[in-house]
Amino acid sequence: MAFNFKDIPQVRPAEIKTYHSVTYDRVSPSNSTFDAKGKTLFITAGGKFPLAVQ
Amino acid sequence: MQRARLFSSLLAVSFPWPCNKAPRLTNYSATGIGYAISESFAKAGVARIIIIQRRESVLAEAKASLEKAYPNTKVETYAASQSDFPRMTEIIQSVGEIDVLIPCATNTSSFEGGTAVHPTKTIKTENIAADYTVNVIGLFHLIREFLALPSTASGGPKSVIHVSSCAAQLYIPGMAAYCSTKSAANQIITNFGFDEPEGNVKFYSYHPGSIATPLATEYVPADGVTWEDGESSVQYIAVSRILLMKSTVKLSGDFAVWLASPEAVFLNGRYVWAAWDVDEMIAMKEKVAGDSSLLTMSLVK
Repeated sequence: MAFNFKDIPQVRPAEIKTYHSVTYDRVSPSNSTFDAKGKTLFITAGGKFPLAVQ
Repeated sequence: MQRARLFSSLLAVSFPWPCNKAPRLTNYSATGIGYAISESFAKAGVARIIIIQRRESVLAEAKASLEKAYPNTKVETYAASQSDFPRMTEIIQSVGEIDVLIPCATNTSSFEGGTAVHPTKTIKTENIAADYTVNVIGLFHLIREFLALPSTASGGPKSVIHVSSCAAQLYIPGMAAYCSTKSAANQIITNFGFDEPEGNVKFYSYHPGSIATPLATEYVPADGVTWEDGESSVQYIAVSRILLMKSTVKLSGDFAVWLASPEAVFLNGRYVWAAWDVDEMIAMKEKVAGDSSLLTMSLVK
């Protein structure tokens, strides 16, 4: 059977009603309860591609 | 609408960048999700960001952009692959103190052969092995070496945040390797998290969300998807791709900062989506605490 990308089923695996597709105030790093002071982030593949679209 | 979102999400974390038919080991994020995460943590005010990536040019661009916009954050870069275990050990030990560890690198060499869907039986064994080496064993090794640091024994709170994909939950033709590595990595995160529920290191996996990338639109047939803005992908590329990508990828980054916050501790060992409203998740706190299979790779009741 040929695969059609339109057939990928919707997946909403939890009882969440509100889906965000763009960032919102509640998760803004500016007023996060994450205490960033003096902290170190270690990330793989955290680089930036030198491209105009970014 | 949701289908389009889902599809672009899959692509966002599924394909190497740029589109290239040659097989290769990748250690870079396809869409700038990793950079968006770095930027969100810089915005939050972390003192130091350590970025591991294979290509020097990509590292240099990240360091220059971040340090310009966030002068109080020091960015250190290492050109290395997540599949180089001794090198990862060496880097982690030299960095010494890490508060948030984010394995974001993904290998997709099993996509060798281009955009057409290839049956699982045609995947080359060495390519699926390469995917597992980076996406699963490489992730395990990073976490293991991170936990061996003295600072994880008594300090805290600390977080490990695995950049997963909803591909972990899905059958997607041609993506047996990618889908299964993401399921496996989610399981590893769950095991680390549940091993020491009261430990000072918390573990999370998340699906970074609906990112309409240039690459996604490149892979999608013009009439193959109804995009979120209702345009065909051809119009989409011309009109709104850049703006949408910028705003959606910010959510991927900002959500990772939220996961690192004390508010997310109840999700230790679980797998969530960046798209989910955080207050609705918090409302599920008791339910999550009472059900160890919820938000993990398990059977639906």
